[in-house]
Amino acid sequence: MKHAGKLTNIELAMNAAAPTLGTFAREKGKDFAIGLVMGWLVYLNDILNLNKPMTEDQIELCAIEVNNTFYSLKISDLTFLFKKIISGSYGEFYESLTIPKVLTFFRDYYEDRCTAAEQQSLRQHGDFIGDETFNYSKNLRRVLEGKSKRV
Amino acid sequence: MKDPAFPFYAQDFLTGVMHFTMPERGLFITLLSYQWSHGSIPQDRLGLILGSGWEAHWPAVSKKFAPAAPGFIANIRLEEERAKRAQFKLKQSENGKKGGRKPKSNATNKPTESQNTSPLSSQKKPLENESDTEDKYVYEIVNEDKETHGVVILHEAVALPYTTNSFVQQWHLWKSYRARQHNFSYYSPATEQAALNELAALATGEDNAIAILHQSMAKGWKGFFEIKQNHERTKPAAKGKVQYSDDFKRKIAGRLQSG
Repeated sequence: MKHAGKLTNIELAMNAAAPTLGTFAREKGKDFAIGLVMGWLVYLNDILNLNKPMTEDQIELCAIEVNNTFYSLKISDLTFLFKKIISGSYGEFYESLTIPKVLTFFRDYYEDRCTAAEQQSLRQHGDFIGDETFNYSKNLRRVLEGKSKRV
Repeated sequence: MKDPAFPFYAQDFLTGVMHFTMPERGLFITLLSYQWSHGSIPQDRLGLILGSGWEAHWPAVSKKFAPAAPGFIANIRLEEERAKRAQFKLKQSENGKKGGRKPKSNATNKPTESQNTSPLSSQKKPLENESDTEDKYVYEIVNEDKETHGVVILHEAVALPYTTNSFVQQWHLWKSYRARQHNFSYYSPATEQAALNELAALATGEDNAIAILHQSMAKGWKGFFEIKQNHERTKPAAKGKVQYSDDFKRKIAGRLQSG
């Protein structure tokens, strides 16, 4: 969380050079990935100062569900999501956390992330298409063979 | 000060007026009341005292009265009761001036067997003027050397659940606390008895009863409540401090170390 200040928007979190939960599950094992999310949830419950925090069983079950569904989220995404939760971006949760609430946070964040990713991709494509400069050295063979559409 | 009440022994009265008609009984009780208030009954004022039609019933009622002074009649039994009551009051007054009962060499803190602490049976005791009546509800507190340490005078009709020195003292302390702290005193023997019954029902024994009294006094309470045991154990965790078991923490650590 020390470096969470650098994550100011969802695109930075999405594009950060950080492994995903799926990467952890593949390289370190599924238990490691689940333990990581469990620790994240324990920290979330603690920092929110709840009257009715999640129980141990709820935390474990929620962590398993997050790993099964949102394995494409990076550690930077979890950090950014954490910031948004404690800042109240996902509304009032009335001093209690439950599995549906947490998974709703993840679902909403995933929707926003996918939307941001789509926009980023479209932007990148637009930038590429709109680029007037033709890269001759790169496309020399195609030019010589007459296959290039650009002159 | 004139005594406003006289002892009325219901069974004796019913036996005595068994052969009286109701009007005769009415005349009789009216005359007794007049005699108690005025000392004796003037014969020439009977008509005024009893109202019209008294002559018809007088022959039967007159047998209950005897000449007391020239021109006055009185019921002998009532005067005997008056004398007994006066004697009782005098004795009570003398005892009060002395500050209580004389110390006895083998005094105990329990009432004697002849004393009956039942509220029902004790109601007539003060009027009977028995010699030990004034000692009936006076509890003597003695120390281990059998010397009188003090005297606590309880109300006549109160029955204590525990009659030991310590409980009597603590009950007296409780009443003093209530009087000082809350300006409260038990209005009648019935209310005090009800409070004692409540305490007896709540307590498991004498020590527990004393502990309940101490707890109420310490916390400034007006009533009796069960002893609160070990508040620290039942105290909930402070808000924001999530408490997870060591097993759970070990489980998380185990999963993180499995990679």
